[in-house]
Amino acid sequence: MTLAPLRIGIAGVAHVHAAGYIHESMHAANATLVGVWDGDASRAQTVATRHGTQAVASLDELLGSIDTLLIAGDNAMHYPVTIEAARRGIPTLCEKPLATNTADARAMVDAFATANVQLGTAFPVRYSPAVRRLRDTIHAGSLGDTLMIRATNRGTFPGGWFGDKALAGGGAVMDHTVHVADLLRWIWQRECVEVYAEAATRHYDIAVDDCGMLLMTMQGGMFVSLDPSWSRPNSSYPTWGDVTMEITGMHGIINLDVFGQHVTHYDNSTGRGRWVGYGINLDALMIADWLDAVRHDKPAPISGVDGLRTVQIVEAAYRSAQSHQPEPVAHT
Amino acid sequence: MRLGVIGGGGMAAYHAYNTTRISHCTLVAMGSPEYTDAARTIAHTAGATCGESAAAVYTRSDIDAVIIATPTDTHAAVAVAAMQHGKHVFVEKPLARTLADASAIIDASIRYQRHLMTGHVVRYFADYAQAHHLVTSGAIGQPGIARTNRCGAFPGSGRVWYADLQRSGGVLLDLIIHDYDWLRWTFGAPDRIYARGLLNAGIERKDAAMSIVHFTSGVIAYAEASWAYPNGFRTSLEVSGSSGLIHHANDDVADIALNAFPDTSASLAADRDGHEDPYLAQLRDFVAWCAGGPAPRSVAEDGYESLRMSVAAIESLHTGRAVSLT
Repeated sequence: MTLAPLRIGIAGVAHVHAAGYIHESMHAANATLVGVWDGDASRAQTVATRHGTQAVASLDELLGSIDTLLIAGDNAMHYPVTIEAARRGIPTLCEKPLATNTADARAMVDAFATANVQLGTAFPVRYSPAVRRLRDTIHAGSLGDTLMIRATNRGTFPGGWFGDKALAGGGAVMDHTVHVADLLRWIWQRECVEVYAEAATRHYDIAVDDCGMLLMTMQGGMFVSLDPSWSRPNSSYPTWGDVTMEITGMHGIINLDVFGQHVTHYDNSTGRGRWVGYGINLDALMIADWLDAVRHDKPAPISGVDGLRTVQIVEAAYRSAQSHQPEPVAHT
Repeated sequence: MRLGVIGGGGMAAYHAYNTTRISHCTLVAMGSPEYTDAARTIAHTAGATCGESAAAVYTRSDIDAVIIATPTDTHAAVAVAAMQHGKHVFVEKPLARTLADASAIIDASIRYQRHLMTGHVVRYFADYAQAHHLVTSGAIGQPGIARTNRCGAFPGSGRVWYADLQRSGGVLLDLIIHDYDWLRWTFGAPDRIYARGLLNAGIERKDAAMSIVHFTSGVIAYAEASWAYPNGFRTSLEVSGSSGLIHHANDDVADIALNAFPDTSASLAADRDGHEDPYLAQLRDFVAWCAGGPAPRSVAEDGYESLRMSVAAIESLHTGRAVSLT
């Protein structure tokens, strides 16, 4: 028996990850990209033309012609679009952060639970082979108890709506806390209990934070520092940023550099050196896994609840940056 | 300048050795209830006596200044007594175990009109001095995030008192204070601090801590120190700003390295060729100051303020709350 190709739609193309999702959707096995829709019709048309797909005139039309939805717009559009997709019973993979606040994220999770369809959160870093090996190593127990972790997910300010509080919900802390927060929950299988954070705008002339620093306490007392700052100089640093961890365990130290596979290229034509990655395509693995779950009606590989938990950490971090004291993280 | 060294361990031996490398300086005496072989050898070579106590040094009338390199919780009693006896004092970092002790030392320096220097030697490391210069001269624009690390194995068996974390204060008092001092030197006064660490975890021969420091200027710093590595000693420093970023790590800068086999004793890694030993440079500054020259890079108040950050970090670790430094 052959299965009909899964029909994929993409809502929102304003996120920097949209191009990757479009490309992977067009090249996924036994699937087809129906088209893209965006609240800004001309942006949808520009992106559609660039990738050789079609712009769909309305969200309603897109939702009426697909089996699964991917969302890659600004952060604020996640909530209304996913709620509509849930109402229509369409399994949806949403860009991170799941929402700009806990209330929206909770409502999204509840809407898909009620509809009994999958809501997924796009955390491609889980698919990194190095991350998988780290998870296996931690679970095998050879490192002993994990005592503390120093993590970074530094980057550059992506520009555009990322600097607009209404569309992004926050700055660097909103954008770059959730990947590492998800890895912590997934690998160590415990929740973040409390977070202390500083946030400030120091690097760019923008209305959201570009500097942040978090110190999280996990269940069992393990503590984790996370630097989510947009602190890589945007016109001279050799890459966009990083995802790293140094794990101190009872029996040793593990260093993880998710994008460590790169060759350095010094280029006179741009006047700078670049780190050219040769790591495998994490978006492709994530989307293939998602499509498999949709096709076989399996639970979302990375769920809406996973997205919600990380939004709860972000929200506590912003509360802490205001109160200047550690804040409890809700995890129910 | 006639000098005495109080202490008989590794740092005392090294300071004693450095006194012999400064012209017009004489090492007259050392004083300690116990000595390492290295410390004794250096004293004998220099023709200095090895007394059995601190008093055997500071009560001598033929000594101008003393270098104190004893366990941290003994600094105050020794330093105050030395100044009472008219000696200028160089005291290893941390200045003292408690702020009350540190105040007593500074009060004595004022009462007896003696010079008092705290050994924040990182200010004399050419790499850290260069980084300080770059940041303060505006090379990265407005600084935003500073990150420091200082990580290695637990102090060796020759330094037993370190293992008593209540005495040594663990990494938050003894190790991270180097970076707190550099951060203060570079960014000015801090206004709050939050820390987590292993001080109370009760793990044998392991300590590590992470802290976030906010400065009045708006800079956010992350400082980490660890005695939980299997081996080695690594430091790194990074500051990002509105127009650039500086980064430095000690494990990627050796200007000459040799890995020898079959044994590693002949191995070599050097990255300070052409620069004066920073421990010698700070001692040279101290001696010059005592002889009427300019004040060194780190004076008593710097020792106090860096200690205040460490003490606040330990308080934060105990209470689970951020601590105000204003």
